[in-house]
Amino acid sequence: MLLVYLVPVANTLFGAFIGYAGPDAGRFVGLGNFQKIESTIAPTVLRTLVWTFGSVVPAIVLGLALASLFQHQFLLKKLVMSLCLLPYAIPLIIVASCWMFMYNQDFGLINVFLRKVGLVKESIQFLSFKSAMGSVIVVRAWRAMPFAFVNYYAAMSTIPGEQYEAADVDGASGLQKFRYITLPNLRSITSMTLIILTVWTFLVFDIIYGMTGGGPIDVTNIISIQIYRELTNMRDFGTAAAWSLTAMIVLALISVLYWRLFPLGDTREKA
Amino acid sequence: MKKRSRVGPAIAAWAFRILFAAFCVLPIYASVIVALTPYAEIMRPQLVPLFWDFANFLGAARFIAPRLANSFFYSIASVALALAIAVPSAYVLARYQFRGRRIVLFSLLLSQMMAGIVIMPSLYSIFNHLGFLNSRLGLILVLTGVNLALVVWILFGFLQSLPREVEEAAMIDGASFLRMLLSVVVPISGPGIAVGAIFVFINTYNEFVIPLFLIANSKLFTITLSLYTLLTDTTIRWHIMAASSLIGMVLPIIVFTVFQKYIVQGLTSGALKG
Repeated sequence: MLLVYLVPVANTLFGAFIGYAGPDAGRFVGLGNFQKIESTIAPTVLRTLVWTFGSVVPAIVLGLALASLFQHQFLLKKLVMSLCLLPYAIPLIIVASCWMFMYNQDFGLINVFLRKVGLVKESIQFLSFKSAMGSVIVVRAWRAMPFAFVNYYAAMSTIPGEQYEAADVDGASGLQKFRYITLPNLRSITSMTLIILTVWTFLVFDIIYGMTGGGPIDVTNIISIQIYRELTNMRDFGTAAAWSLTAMIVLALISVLYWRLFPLGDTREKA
Repeated sequence: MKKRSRVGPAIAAWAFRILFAAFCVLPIYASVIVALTPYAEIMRPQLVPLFWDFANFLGAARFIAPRLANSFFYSIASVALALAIAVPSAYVLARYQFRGRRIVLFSLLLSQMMAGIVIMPSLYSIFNHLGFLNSRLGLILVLTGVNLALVVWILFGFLQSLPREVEEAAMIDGASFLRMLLSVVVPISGPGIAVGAIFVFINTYNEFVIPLFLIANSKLFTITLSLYTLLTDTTIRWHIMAASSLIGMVLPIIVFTVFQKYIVQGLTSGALKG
């Protein structure tokens, strides 16, 4: 019984291992695969980090802001909440497609608006060499924000009301209450959200693959794209696996860093 | 206590709520505009839809209906298979103490951290050797496999919160293990099973990377793969792409909205990837 379900999980874990140990033609080449990709590792990892933190940090800040707007009951709360969760329901590749209609030079909503208002004369090329990375990061933040929002929303509703009442008695302002009651209570949910979003974003493939394919000239070429390229363009399983392992190592390093920064001892308001 | 006017902050809060909601909806709205525009007028800049041409939806439907059916089939099959394996596994994990139980639980969590793209090279080469590429069964097995840990985890948490007296009574009355599972455990864990099923359904429906690696035959394409082919066509048919995007997002949005309460609970535990 246990075996039946352990097999796929084990398969996942072993798959990662085989990927590392099984270079082309089944021969052991040591670090040969890594030597092949050596010159591109640093810039690609750097791009992946920019992509990850560039989108995760704004997503978390926006999610927190949005959650604090949902603390009180208001008209149509459920409807507004559904709208704000929409980005999270949509398949990532459709997210990419929808944003193409925002960014398009001729009829993209952003450019049409900016031209109508008169802010720009020439359309902005959102997916050009200079701005492509920024543009895909916005898309990722759009998609990740609802996740942070829901996490904060759930965590905020578990903060004991007495703390706020006590603060009211002491005459604290709204901002003070946020700073001294809300934020400290959200510490562990923040670290959890940060870790989960970082791990996911680091390896997101669909958005960039759909919008830029890693281009123009590699500016948006992150590790996940590179893994796919190695496998399809170069037909080199060894280097693809080497990239996979690189991704896992970097992720492990980031996780360790997070654990150091946010010790998970405080789990009072565990989600 | 002082009485202060609450009108100002209330208006500000509403302004921000509308701003956020607009930010979330705008890309979808942009797709709606293009989806309603005939191809000849596609380059026309519009802020509000000037055309109300629903023909694009027919064209898109003709193109993606078979792929939509594929996606639906893969998702339902994965849900069924995942539940069939997860219910007994979660039950054993929740009710019995055995060697390695903690390791199993930990590896369940660990496997949740891994995204498809990292394991795809090895999976692809394994499937290539086995001749399992371009196979519906192969795809469903992988989709089930990557979601299995999640369902086991959800059901495990749920079963732990249930009393075990009924099951023990059934066992004493001589029911077999399987019979006890089907007639006692499954009925009482209905809500947990529902939550697991919802998440596996959305996860598999939204999956892109796994079918991208494993499926090359366009007859077996999922909705996400067909969207990708639209995105990368040499001449992009914007109108069809927009309409297809909208059709493709209907199903997950319905599931999301109908089960919002469960979804919100599940999201906080990271049940939906991406």
